[in-house]
Formats: sequence, C-alpha cells, structure tokens
Amino acid sequence: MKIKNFKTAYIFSILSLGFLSVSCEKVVQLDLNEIEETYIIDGMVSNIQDYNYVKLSKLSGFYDNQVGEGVSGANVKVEDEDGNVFTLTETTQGLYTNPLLLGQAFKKYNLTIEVGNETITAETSIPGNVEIDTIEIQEVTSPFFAGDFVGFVYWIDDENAENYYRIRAFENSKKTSPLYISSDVLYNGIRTGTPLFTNELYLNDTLRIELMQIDKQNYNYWNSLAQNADVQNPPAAPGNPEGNIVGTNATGFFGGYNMAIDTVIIE
Amino acid sequence: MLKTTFLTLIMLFSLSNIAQEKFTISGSVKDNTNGEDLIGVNVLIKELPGVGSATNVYGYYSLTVPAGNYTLIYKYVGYNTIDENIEVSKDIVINKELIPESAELMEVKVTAVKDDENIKSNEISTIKFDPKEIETIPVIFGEKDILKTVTLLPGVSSAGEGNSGFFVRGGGADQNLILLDGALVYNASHLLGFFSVFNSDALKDINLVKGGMPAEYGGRVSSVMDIKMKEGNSKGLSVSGGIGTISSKLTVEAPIVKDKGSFMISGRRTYADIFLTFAPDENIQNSTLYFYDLNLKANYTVSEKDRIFLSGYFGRDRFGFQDQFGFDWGNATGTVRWNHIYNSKLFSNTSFIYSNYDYRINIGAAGFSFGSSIQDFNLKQDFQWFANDKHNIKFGINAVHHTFSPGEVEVTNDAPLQASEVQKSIGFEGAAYISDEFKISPLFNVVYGVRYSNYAALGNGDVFEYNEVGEVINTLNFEKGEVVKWYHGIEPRLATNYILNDVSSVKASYARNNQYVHLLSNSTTGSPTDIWLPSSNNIKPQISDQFTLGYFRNFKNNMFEFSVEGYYKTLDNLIDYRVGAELNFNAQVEGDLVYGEGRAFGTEFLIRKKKGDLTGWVGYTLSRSQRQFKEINNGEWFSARQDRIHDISVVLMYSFSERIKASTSWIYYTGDAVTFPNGKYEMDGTTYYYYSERNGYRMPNYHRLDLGVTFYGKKFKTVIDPVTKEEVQKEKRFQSNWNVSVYNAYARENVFSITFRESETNPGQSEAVQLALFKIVPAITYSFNF
Repeated sequence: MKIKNFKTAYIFSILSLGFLSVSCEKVVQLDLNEIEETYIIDGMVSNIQDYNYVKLSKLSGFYDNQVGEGVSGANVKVEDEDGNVFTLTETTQGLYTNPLLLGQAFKKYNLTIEVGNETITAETSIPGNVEIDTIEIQEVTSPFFAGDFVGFVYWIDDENAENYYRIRAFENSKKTSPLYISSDVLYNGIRTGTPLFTNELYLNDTLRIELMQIDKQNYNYWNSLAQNADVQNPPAAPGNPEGNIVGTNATGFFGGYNMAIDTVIIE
Repeated sequence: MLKTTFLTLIMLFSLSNIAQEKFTISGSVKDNTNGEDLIGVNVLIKELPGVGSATNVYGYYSLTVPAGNYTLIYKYVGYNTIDENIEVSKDIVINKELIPESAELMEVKVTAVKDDENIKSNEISTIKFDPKEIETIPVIFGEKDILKTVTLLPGVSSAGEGNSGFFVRGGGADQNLILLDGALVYNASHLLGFFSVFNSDALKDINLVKGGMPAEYGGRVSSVMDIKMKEGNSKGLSVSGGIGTISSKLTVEAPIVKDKGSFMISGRRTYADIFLTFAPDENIQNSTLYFYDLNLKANYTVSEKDRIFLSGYFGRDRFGFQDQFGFDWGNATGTVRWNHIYNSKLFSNTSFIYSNYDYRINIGAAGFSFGSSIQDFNLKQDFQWFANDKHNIKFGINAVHHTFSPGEVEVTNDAPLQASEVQKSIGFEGAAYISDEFKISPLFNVVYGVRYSNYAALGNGDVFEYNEVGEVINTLNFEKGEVVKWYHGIEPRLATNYILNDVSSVKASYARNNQYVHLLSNSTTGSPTDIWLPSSNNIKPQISDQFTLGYFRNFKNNMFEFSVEGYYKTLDNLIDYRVGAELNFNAQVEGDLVYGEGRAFGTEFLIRKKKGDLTGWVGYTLSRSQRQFKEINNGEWFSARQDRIHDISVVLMYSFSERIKASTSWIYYTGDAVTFPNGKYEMDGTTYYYYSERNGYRMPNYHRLDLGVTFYGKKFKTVIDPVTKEEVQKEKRFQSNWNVSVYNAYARENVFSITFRESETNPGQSEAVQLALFKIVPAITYSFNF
C-alpha cells in the first residue's frame, strides 16, 4: 500500500488557487554535469517463458536523443541454485536470452555479465505462486481520472509470509505499463486488491494484467524508482535506487518474478 | 555544572545583600484603552539611574529600592510616558494604565520615550513584532501573515514561493519552536503551506529568537517563535473583522467583568469553496476546500494575587470530493494558566497545556482511510524572582508526555485491506532551568543560565535494531512504560550586552539546544502528511551550539537602528533518508534514516527606520548552511537546500497622510541548492533519471516586488463640545480601511519547481520544465473595527 493520494490533493489545491492566479510552465535548458560511463542492467527471471532475459544498455546523458541503446558483445550467464548454468545469447542489440531458462518458485538465481573489462554480478530469488482472483472494471466520472473506467485487480495474500507484489497493466497493445508496487503490510493473509488508477481505460479497450510476486529487495528497488518518477510529488532528495547489481560502473536490477497473467475486455 | 551555577548564584546574592532597609514596588501595567497587559514596559526611578525593571509577559513588574522619595517613570514605545512622585516607606503595589499615543489628538503627539531599547537590552538575535506594526506590509492574497512577514528580516528565510514555512540561520523547518500561548504548534501551515495557522487579528505579540535563546525555552535547535494571543478587551466590547480575497475573519472582545476579566474570540474561514459551486463542472461543484481557525482566550483576575487564563486554538483544513476522497488536518491546542504573586518579588506562572496535531485521508472510493497524530500533555511551572536591583532570576520546570501515532488505517467492511496501526511511540520530555539577568554595572549586563533537558523513550512493544544498511538485526520487546532509551543534556545559555555609549553596544551570546523530536518529510515544501518521530534507541537527539556576536548602533537620535550580527552554528545528529525511504506507514522507518551533521554561519546586516512618515528596513544576510552525511556524496560536505548565500530584503512603509499609507517590499535570494539528474536510462521500457550528486545544482535566484496601499476611513469627526461650544475632533468609534496589494508586481517568473519529463513533440528527448506558481497576484481586503 503506497500512500500517494496526497498528490491528488496537491493538484486539487493548485487548481483551486488557479482561480486567483496563473501558474506558468516552461521548458528550460539546464547546464548539467557530464555523466560517467555506466552499464544499465534490466534483467528478469520468471515462470513465464517470454519473461526470462537480460537487457544490457548504457547510461545516456540527460539531453541525449535516445535512451536504452543496447550493448552488444557481452558474456551473459545465469546460474540457478542447483548449479545449472544457462548462457544467454544476444537476440537483438543488447537483449540476451536463452529459451531453456525458465524460473522456478523458491529458487535463487545468479547473474554474471562480462563486458569490456567489467564483471558484473547480481543475485535474486523467485518467491511463491500468486493467482489473480478477479479483475473488476468500474465506471468513473471524476476529475481525478483521465479515462472513463478504472480497473481493480484482486488476489489472495499468503498469511504465512511477508509478500511483495508488482503489477503491470497494459491497455490494448501498449508495450509499457505504469509502475504498481505493493506490500502486504495492510492486507496480510486476506483477499486484497488494488485500483489501477494510472491506466487510462475506455469502452472496448483490452486490459492485460500481470500480477507478480517479488522479493523484498525487488520491491525496494521498484519502489525507489517509483518515488523518483513521481513528478507531482517528487522526493526532496532524489537519488539512484540501490538495486542488487554488483560492479564498479553498473546499476539496475536483476529480478525474480512469479507471475500470473489475465486479460479482460471492457464492455 | 548545575551545582556550580547554583553556588555562583548564591555567592552573588550574598555580595549584593547590603544591610540597608529596602522596599519593593510592584504591580502591573496595562493599556488604558483595552486593558491588554503591556509587555516590556520600562519602569525606572529618575533619582536612581540604572535601577529599573521591565514588565514580564503578563505585564508584571517588581523593583526594589531603599526607602525614600522618588519619581517613578513608566515608559513604553508608542505610549505616553507617566512620571509619578512616590514615597517609599513600605512595600507598595502600583498598577498603571498607559495611554497609547495614537489615542491622543495629533497636535499633542508625545515622543518622550527614548527609543533605544535595541541598544540597552541584552537581547541579541531577537525579532519582536507587534502585529499592528506590520499590518500594511503587502502579502500574497492580502492575507496578513506573521510567518511570512518575519521572513523579510535577516537570518530568516521563507521555505518557498508563497510558503509560510521558514528557516532560521540555515536550520531546518522542523527546528523552530513555535509556541502559541505556550502550546507547541506542530504544523503551522494551512493549504499546503500557503497560509500560516496564525490569524493576525487574534495576536498580540510575536517574539522570534534566532540565537542565544533564554533558558526558559528549549526543545528545538534553531529558533524560538513565541506568539501571544490577545487577552481580550477588559474595558468594553470591541469588534474587528475583515473581508478579503481568500478569507473573512471576525474578532470579538469584551469584558467578563469590567477591569477584572475579559475574553477574545476570533475566527477565520476561507471561501474558495464558495467559488467552486459556480464551476461549470458538476464534479468540481461537489468538492470541499476550505480551512478555518478559531482562537479563544479568556482571563479573569480572581484576586490581587491570582489571575487565571484559558486559551485555545482550533484549526483545520478540509479537502474533499464527494464521498470518494477526503483529506483533512489540523492542530488543536489548549492552555490553562494560573498567575500567582507569592510576594512582591516572586511571580509564578503555572500552565497546563494540551497540544494535538493529526491528519486523516479518506479514500471512500476504495473503502479505507488512514491517518497519523501527535498528542502532548505539558505541565510547566515558571517562577520569576525579582531578587534585587541587580538580579532578575527565572527558574522553572517542564514535563511533557508525548504520544506519537505514526499511522493507522481504518477500513470499511468490503475493503480489500485490514485495519492496522503502526505502533505508537510514547515519550516523556522533561526540563529544568534557571537563569539570572545580572546587571553587573549600568553599562554591562549578562544573562546567564542553564537548562537541563531529558527525554525517555518509553516502551510499548517492539523496538528494532538495525545494521549499517538499515536492515533489522534485532527485535527487542518492552513492557508498557519501560524505558527503552534515556537521553539527557546540559544546555548552557549566555547573553551579554556591553553598552559602549548612548548609541552603541556590543552583544554576544552562546546557546546549546537539544531537540528530541524530529520531522520526517520527503517533500521540499513540507506537507500535512509529514511525520514527527521522537528520539529512540536509533535516533539520537539533535544538538546545536551557536555563538553570536553583534554590534548595535543608533543614528540621528535613534531614528535609525543599525546592527550587524555574526553567527556560527553547529548541528549534530541531523536526519536524512536513504534513497527510496518509505516515511509513511512504515513500522521500520528508522531503518530508512541516516544521520549526519551540519554547520551554518553568516553575517546579518540590518538598518531600520522606526520613526517618521517613512519607516522600514533594509536587511542583508551573507550565509552558508552545509551538511555532511557518510552515506551522501561520499561523505563530503554539501549545501543544505536552504543554503541561500545572499539574502536581501527591503521593506518601506510611507504614510502620505493619516488616511493613506503605502508600503512596498522587495526581496532577493540565491536559489536553493537542488538535486538534478544528469543522465537517464531505461528499465522495463520506461525512462528513469540518473542523479550524480546531492544538492549539486541551484534553482534560479529569486526576487520579487510587492506593493500595497491602505486607505483609512475618517478617523475623527468634528463635534461641538456641549460645554465650551467649540468644535473639537472626536475619534470615531467605527474605523475601517481598504487594503489593495499586488504580489510579484513586475511578474517575475520565480521558479517553484523544476521537473523532468520526456518531450511530447520530440519523443526520446528529455526536457526540464520549470513551474512558476504566481505571476501578478492582486488582492483587496476590507477591515473594520468598532
């Protein structure tokens, strides 16, 4: 449960002050320091075939025209806790995969990347199963929402463990999802759910929901990223999330996910 | 340390106790028009230079003289001086009422009082305000606000555009002790910081201490802002009010029994929500948006020696949208106070104070609500002993019981959540102090004292221990009331004044302060959801040591006051956050904190003109404020956000006539130190920004001009004196004025925030977007009193 609704109130108050004054937004050019060469690792090991990969890219300067350009020619290996080693090969620029690699619940995975003179490592784990209980769609008429509908996803939390979740929700054929992160502090062991406020939904849209159980380190990483990305209510002192990447010039995350996927059409 | 101080005190008294028969003159001084106690009235003996007393905050004075005939002088700026011949052959009580200069007719304006308090008093780094003095200074939305006006003085800076939060000498916003009639106000702002909770109409006196705090104050490391509410008119009914752009307010004062007791009730409410009903959008019509304040005070003189006060403050902000969303927060404080005069030399003040702050967010749409609160019960016993003509001693004790509730969640039946609560923290904060104002010679006086403070974090369940990276390594369980951790400390205080000559003096001070409660805030401007946390086994008390040296000089018969003050302040055990710290609803929030130190130093210049048609001041501060944390910027010193190197303010008020007064202020300061990204990367298809150093960049410099003009209705009317048949000017009972102001008159686009996003027109390209909140903001306010 993330307390984010303050943001709404904030916008609301700024809007109401708008009765009396005009706020003014404008793009400015900042004089920013040079970046140091840094590798970015975005890796995933999961129980779903398509979601086992490592993306290797380089940090871009703030004013660079592109972001996430892949790095080729790296040696990428994933080893599970039983000692099985999977070598990942480059399928498209910077994307490394191995069709034999399929994550299993309650297992640990080690990543090793050799690129240039660098050796980068990371360790993650895949928690237990989680199932989507129901998906609900509610019609909304409120100034807070961009779309006409809000989706809610429900699942049952395991009482005997501290559980952490990440949800991806894609409208129609969209390739990116808003970031939804949740922990069971407020719903240990019950049927729970979360609204997917950030997805903009209209009649006849398709909504694909991926509910993923993750470990605490994984939760902390995405939660930090979410805080930094919060434009309306930015943290007083933004910084780079710590993640689990070990290496002198590398950052990012290699995460284990136990996923459940479901799709609904809004009728 | 304590022991030696007491011994020194005893020795000093035995030296000065000469065996000559002495008697005490004591009493109280009030305003003749409304019966308000006058604070800081000088009571002097013409025949005995250097002997005198000043009334305390309850208007009480006491001075001891040898038997004889004297001329007793009561003088106070803005009031007519009273000279009175008295014969002292026994202890006597003299209560006086002074007549304000303005109540006199213009021709007989008296300027007898030598306005050199700034030279003679040993107060250093202190700003005093009478809300009346500053009422014409233009403010945003025309809403008079002492917390904003105070930032126009050197050493005090605003927390941001339109914001009522303030930083004193490089300290944090949570390091200011804000007291309203002795009650701690935890969150002094409304509407996300745009307005302070202090309704100027209800206030009598504001005192801000930036350094060298007197020993009776403690608990915050950077400043003390002591605000007193009006007691209420004990002479007759008076009503004042105002209708403004944002809010309306009404204050009613009246005697309970004439000259024995009175009350004051003052209310303010905003009405932006009234405009909402005119909105074209039905959804906006169904929204709630307002705040209100209610100040209440009553006092009653039970006997010549006893007086009882009751005061209270209630204020709340409410936001809401139908039953889907609600957000409200506010403070409630209450004070019961008993003044007792044990004998003509010993004045006692006993206070019982309650203070509460809470917020609640109700997500009706999702079936749950959550909130947090902090609640204090505070018992304070203060004594003032007017020992003799050389020593004025203050001592007392203070005990506070704190209950911190960091978060709890309530749910409706069908909500997919469980009701739950982050464990409450209970704490006991105690203090004892003694200080002596010692007039060593007519030219040299010293206030020295010591405060002993302590804090006990009391058990009430689980207590966590963390490792270097903030992971729980041990969980300890404590019984209710068991001491988890006890901190205590000695806080020496010293302020000296050496008067060089009639027009100049040199002052110096030192103060140590311990702070046992800390504010966790992850937003730049402060928010109602910020959480107060007490010291614990993990969080040590913040400690500050501040040295100040100042030179004070008056020119042109005290028409101009000039001062320059330098300070150096160290801060220990400051709090910052790990990246990704989860501050709300986190039982293990202490694992997300990191601890470090700070230093702040600077020089403040002030030239002030207090008399004549043109009044005002020019202030300039050159200062730095830096922090050092092992975990941030590789342990190197970095600028605090409020490290504003240059800070200039110019405030001018001009009286064209009795009926038209204009005012203007101009401020300039170095932009805040901020953290900007210099890189970007992609995770799961989304672009995120990469940061290389904390506070390594600067916001653009801030400057702004405000203008205001106040038109007063006719103050006097011509009547025919029934006896002499002559035309005389008589003050009208009903007085009113119109205030027109313009905030940010030259429409400077001051930057409120800079955020980062992907360009809409050029995907893949990132851009920085600056937001300027206010361009020109005009406002109009109508005020009246009768």
